[in-house]
Amino acid sequence: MQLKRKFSVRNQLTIATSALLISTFTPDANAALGADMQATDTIKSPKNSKKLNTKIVNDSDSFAISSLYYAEEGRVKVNKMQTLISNQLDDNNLLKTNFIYDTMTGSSPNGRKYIPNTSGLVTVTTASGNSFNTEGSAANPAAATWLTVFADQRLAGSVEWDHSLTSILTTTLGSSVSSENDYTSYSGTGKVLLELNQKRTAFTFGSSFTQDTIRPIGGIPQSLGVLTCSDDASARAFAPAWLNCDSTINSTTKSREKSINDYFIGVTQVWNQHTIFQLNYSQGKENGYLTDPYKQASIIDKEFNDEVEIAILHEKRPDTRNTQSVFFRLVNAPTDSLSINMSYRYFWDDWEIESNTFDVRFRFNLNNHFYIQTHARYNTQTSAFFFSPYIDVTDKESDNFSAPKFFSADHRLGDQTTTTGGIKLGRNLGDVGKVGLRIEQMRQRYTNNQIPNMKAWIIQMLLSFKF
Amino acid sequence: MASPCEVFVNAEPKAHAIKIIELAESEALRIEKKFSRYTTNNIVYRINNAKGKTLSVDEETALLLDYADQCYQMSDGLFDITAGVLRKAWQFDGSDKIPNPLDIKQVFQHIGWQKVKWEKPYLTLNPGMEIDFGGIGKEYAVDRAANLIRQKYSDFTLVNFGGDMAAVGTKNIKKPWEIGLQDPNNMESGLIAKIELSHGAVATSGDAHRFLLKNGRRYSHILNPKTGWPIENPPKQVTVMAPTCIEAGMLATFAILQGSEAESFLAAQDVEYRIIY
Repeated sequence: MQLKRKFSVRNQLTIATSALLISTFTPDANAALGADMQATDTIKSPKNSKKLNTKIVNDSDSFAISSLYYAEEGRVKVNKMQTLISNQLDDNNLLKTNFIYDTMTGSSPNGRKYIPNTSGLVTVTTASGNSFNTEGSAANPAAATWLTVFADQRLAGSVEWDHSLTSILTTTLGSSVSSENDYTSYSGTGKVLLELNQKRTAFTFGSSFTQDTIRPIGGIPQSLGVLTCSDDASARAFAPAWLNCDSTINSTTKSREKSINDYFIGVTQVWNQHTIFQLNYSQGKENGYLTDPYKQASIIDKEFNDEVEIAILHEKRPDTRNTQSVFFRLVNAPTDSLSINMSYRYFWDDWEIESNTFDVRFRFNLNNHFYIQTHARYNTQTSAFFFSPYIDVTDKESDNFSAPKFFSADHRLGDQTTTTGGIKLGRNLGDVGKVGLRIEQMRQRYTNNQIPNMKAWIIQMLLSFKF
Repeated sequence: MASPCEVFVNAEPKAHAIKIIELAESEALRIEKKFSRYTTNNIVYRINNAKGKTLSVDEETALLLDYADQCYQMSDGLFDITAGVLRKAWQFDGSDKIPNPLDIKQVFQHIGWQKVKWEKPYLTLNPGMEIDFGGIGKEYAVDRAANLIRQKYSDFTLVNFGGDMAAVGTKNIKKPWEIGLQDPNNMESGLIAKIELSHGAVATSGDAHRFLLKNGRRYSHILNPKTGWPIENPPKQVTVMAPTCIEAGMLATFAILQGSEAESFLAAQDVEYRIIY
């Protein structure tokens, strides 16, 4: 190894140190505050004199507001308002407080057999409202629709506390609450960040626990219980033996719970002055009521080349789910004005859902203040083992055909491909903060489901201030 | 200084020893109050919030700025009291937000002592720039306290501010102060070396557990102010012995900033040192 020649700075340093330590001055802490200051200084203005009395370390104090509008064509619309306050309490403690208010309206596929041109006739359920109305579907199920109209709002808050134990070890404790009219969620997070190799390598270990309570309007439905049967006797003749159209089960359970335990481990590595990469692995265990009480499933018979909806059931999912995912990200800045952020996520679970997500962002810094970022995302997902768009009883003789153990026609558990493309404009306001505008379009295609493909727009405005 | 500060005095009676300790304490508190980055009513706060305006600074601040200027020259730009702003870009938080090289570059514009206009006593910082005496302050306080004690007393005294220390006094020296060095790789294992100090100073610099952010050092990690990125392959800990604490501290800091060449740098300085990788 060739060593650079090292020159001694010792003498130079000794001379400089002597000058520093031998000099005399008025050792008064306040000397620097009064007469010494020039008139150009503004410290005595009323605005700043207030500041003087507050002992705040203000390096990282910031306040961010984000407003996001998400609109699916003909379906769900979401307005999300979010504020994030970040307080650097001192060098070792950072407090992040987050508030979210969402309003959701529109209609979403409820799992029933897709029948075109009936989108005007809907089953009305309002998760937030006082009424629960299934009228119309009981009388004529075939005329009822595959969409459920809903309106809800969500209020959520979280607090996160980062504490530096040592220069290389930071702990994070967080807790959050989220509340909808029919849903409450509490969660706690603990995380350890270990930075080694002069911050070139960072390890993260963590775990989180979530406890959710769902209180559907009308109570918890009987899983795979009958919601309604066709009143056409000839249609009912095809019903499998296990289907009991005469029994009406009144819900006695008002609420059910589920819990989620997540564990994750990650490493971030600074590769060189242009490249940083990150690898994460996470594991989740869900337990409890994982069924969606609002989702339905149609029993269909195609005896005469004509689809007959015999009955509508409530769905039923397993009460455990084990998920795993691997995430890899690479951030590379080949030039002074371009950075590329690429990531890939592979997700799999014991419901047999597998998902692959590719995400690429190019950020172009046009100048010191202004940047444009393009975003492209591609996701494919396979369906859960108990997913099907409907329960097909065609040619299934009554006696040797038993009820499915689990069943869901929720399109979110089915095969799908989602592509997203968008652009973000950002402006750095220097000492003041930054502003950003993001516009994206998302398209979702369902390969083993008959419901129409979905298109959505996402518009987000972001303001961030330092204070 | 928000770190354990100790003064050991070998003197009788107790009241006399307490006077010496109080002298050191008041000097430490004075320096902390005046130069800490964590208060809003001192000179450092005013410099960092001047928003491009020119300030006239007092004599002591000017001496420290001169000193920082010379250290910048001596270290070929590696020791830079404006470098602290970099921590804004370097915040891994374990989330998916990892630093973007372009953000590091953006913050990097706000550092560089060469961009500061310093014509004693007039100081002008570009808006967005900040200075921090964290890399000098603790050692300076040790030397200042030691000097004050030396001027008034001759009792054998050890001033230790968070691991940086100086010994003064000639009276009643039975044996030198023994200073233990801990292994930064294994804090449980106890001491790996002992240094005997009867005069002069010792300072340690590094990324070991004991060098917390709160120990008055501002960077949790050693970032290269010339690139904005971490120093490659620096030693874990460097301890240097020198006549004054501030010299010892500067040499230890310069050495770490040399990365893998820390040892060859120290070998050329004609000082005693301990280096741990």
